[in-house]
Amino acid sequence: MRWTIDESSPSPLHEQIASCVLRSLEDGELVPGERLPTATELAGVLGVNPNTVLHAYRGLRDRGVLEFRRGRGARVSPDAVARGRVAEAVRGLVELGRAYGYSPRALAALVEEMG
Amino acid sequence: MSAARRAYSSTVTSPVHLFLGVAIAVMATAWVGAAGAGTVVAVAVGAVLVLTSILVSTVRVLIGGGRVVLGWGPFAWPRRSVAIESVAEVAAEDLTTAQVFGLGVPWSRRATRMTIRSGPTLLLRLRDGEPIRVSASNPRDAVELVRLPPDRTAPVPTTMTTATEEQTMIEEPSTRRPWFGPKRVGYGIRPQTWQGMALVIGAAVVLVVLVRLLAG
Repeated sequence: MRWTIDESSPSPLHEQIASCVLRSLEDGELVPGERLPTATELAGVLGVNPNTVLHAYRGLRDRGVLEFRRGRGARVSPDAVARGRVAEAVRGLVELGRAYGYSPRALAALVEEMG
Repeated sequence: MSAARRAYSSTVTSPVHLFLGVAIAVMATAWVGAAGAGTVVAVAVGAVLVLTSILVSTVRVLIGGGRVVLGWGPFAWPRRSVAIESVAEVAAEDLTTAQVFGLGVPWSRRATRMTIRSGPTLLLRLRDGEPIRVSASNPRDAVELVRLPPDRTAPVPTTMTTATEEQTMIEEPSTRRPWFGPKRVGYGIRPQTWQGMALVIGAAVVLVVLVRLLAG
């Protein structure tokens, strides 16, 4: 998979790294169960701090896209594609709501009403 | 001016290799056990074969920072690091099954093969003539990255206090003599360094020990 980060971009580096993973999932380059490079390896080739990569990986784990196993690195979780798509849609919704003055709580209430 | 940094990673796993390896391990364990070599030896043989099948069922590629890092197995070990400067030619190939299993000698420094399935394969031809073929997903992305001018891939960070594994295992293949070279008479290869000779002697010793164990 391709990893591209741009230091001149306003987006934080860890979010750019996470976007690379999500884009590769969408493109089918990454498949469930596939192992990602370790944070140290990826940081070495991208020229960033390993903590930046770990930050990105942890964010993806919290969104259910990656799984961590002790001593075995990060893997793409079995339902990563579905969760990744939903997470991206929710992220877009939160940004749209913020632009129109809706708090995440208000958005959740709105979603609850619709469900 | 854009400050984009690029890298490429690929992990390819062959379930066929894994299945065959485990099946062979089970058969070998049963055969060695039935031959009266003892449970410990039979289990040891099976364990070695299972571990080997796990090792050869996955190949990993990581490109960036001016290097191509190739590794076997889930932990990318053993691994080999090649400077992009030492790559004379890079290409994406589609190998047939016959090409995957039928060409060259995998561990010869004259032709390295890390192909575990047919289909997309990355070919790196080094300046010393050694071709390296490795199974990779979307190898065209890798080709594009290797062909980029050096300043478009990320530099190896200088602020890190600990060296990465890649940095500690840097090899310069173009300055090293291959372990095996062509035979002076006939076809095939022969050891031409002490490492090649050690490999041949080690294999012979293992063979003799196994034969003695099974015979006794």
